[in-house]
Amino acid sequence: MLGEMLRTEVERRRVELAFLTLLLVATPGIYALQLAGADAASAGARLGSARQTAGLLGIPLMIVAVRWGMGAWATERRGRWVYTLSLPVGRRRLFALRYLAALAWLAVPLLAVAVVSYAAAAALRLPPGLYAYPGHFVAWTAAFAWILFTAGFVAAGASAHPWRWIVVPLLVVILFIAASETSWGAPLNRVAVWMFDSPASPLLFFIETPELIAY
Amino acid sequence: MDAALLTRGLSRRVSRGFAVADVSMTVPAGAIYGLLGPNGAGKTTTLRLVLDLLRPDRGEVEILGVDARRHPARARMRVGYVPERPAMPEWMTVDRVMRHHAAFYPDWDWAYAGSLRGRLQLPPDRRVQHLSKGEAAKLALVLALSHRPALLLLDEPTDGLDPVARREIVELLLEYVSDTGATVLISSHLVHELERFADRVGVMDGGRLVAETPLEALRGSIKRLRVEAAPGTLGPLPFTLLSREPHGREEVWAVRGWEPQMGGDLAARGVALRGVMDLDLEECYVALLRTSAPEDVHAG
Repeated sequence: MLGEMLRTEVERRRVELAFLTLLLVATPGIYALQLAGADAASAGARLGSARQTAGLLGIPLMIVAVRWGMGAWATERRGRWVYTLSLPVGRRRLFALRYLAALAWLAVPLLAVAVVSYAAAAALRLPPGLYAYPGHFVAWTAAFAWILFTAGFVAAGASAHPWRWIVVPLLVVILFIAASETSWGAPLNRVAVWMFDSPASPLLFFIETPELIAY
Repeated sequence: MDAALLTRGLSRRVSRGFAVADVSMTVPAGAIYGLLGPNGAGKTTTLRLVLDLLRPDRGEVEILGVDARRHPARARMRVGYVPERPAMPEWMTVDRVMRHHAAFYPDWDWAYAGSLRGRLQLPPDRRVQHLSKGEAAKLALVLALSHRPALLLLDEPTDGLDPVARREIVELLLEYVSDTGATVLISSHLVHELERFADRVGVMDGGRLVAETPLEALRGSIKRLRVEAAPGTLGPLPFTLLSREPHGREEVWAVRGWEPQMGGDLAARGVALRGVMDLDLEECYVALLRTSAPEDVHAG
């Protein structure tokens, strides 16, 4: 059954998979190219530019990862019920099989990220002490994609309107940010600062990562 | 009488205004059971509850001797299901959908599946999204039959189809049943269609099963009486008066539980009986629905 699930996933979403792979491969490639050849003096400025690029690519990564998770159910859901449930597979098993199948294919672009990152690190002269690249980069990207994929998968499995589960929290975040820019948003500002500056934030990589580079 | 499908107190609140309530249904092995009811009566929801596509709030379901609440996957293994709206993945071709289904059924019979597909003239390379409504319904039936199930659950399988497609589907279904002795539960609001081949019917209204009986018994149990000089208040009667309508100087009554000797009881009340008529199934069904009064739930 897992074999059939894997086949179904890749047949249905090969275009999306190719796009996701390109997107994820481009990020470490551009990141490494922008940093290549930098010395200690120029590394700071170049790192800022590289982070901007990575940040810009992070937004489509977020969307695609969530979509990848939601897509595992999208074509089968008919309002309140899921078509595949009529097959002789238990709910938990079906959920696990679907999750594993979609996750297995998500691993392909993430593997490509790792390959490109390590290849770039080997081929290009990166700033000394940039220990976060490629290991941390790959780990963060994989963790970030996996968390968002799982959120999308669970939301789509639980609801006929999964975008509400995703869009509403995103809107809340945007409102937080907007509020933090205004005088009435002082308390929210503290929350926003915590969200983006906390060492535990998965957003950290795409926004501000001073600890990623050490001289 | 062995039951192929048994439900006891099956209930599920679907929305604020609608619930399937306390459905206790017995489908004897080998029967063709017609589940009748108007749109919104709860037929589709009941079938989904039986298959655990929707989780019941309470109640029991037994499919071919298997406790389907505890072992839904095992129960579904021997069931062929045709949903109200076929919901196969639209991007798949006919052949791919069949291979997809075959992966889940160890008893999938490829020779039979191929012969059904050929007979129903389903183009193997056409995507599901490009199938006509009739072709999609035929494909759903092929998928439901190809693992040779012992129980078929068909949710309005011919609804909205042209007469030719409808006839093809019904013929195939009857052929399968006569070959295998399978049990069929078919929901429909097309009473005339069910009348042709069902041997037992359940009638749903407002989320409840309001009647369950052999077809002939239902047809025989409801009569139309032409009476004259009936008083406004009748008091207790030995039969159930389902409806009464004025018709010139006479009244027309729909009654349940009528026996010929009850004419004397009417005469004693001063009511002159002018005639007793049989009703066809549709008239019986309409008469039943007019008087089935759900107590606390209403169809959405």
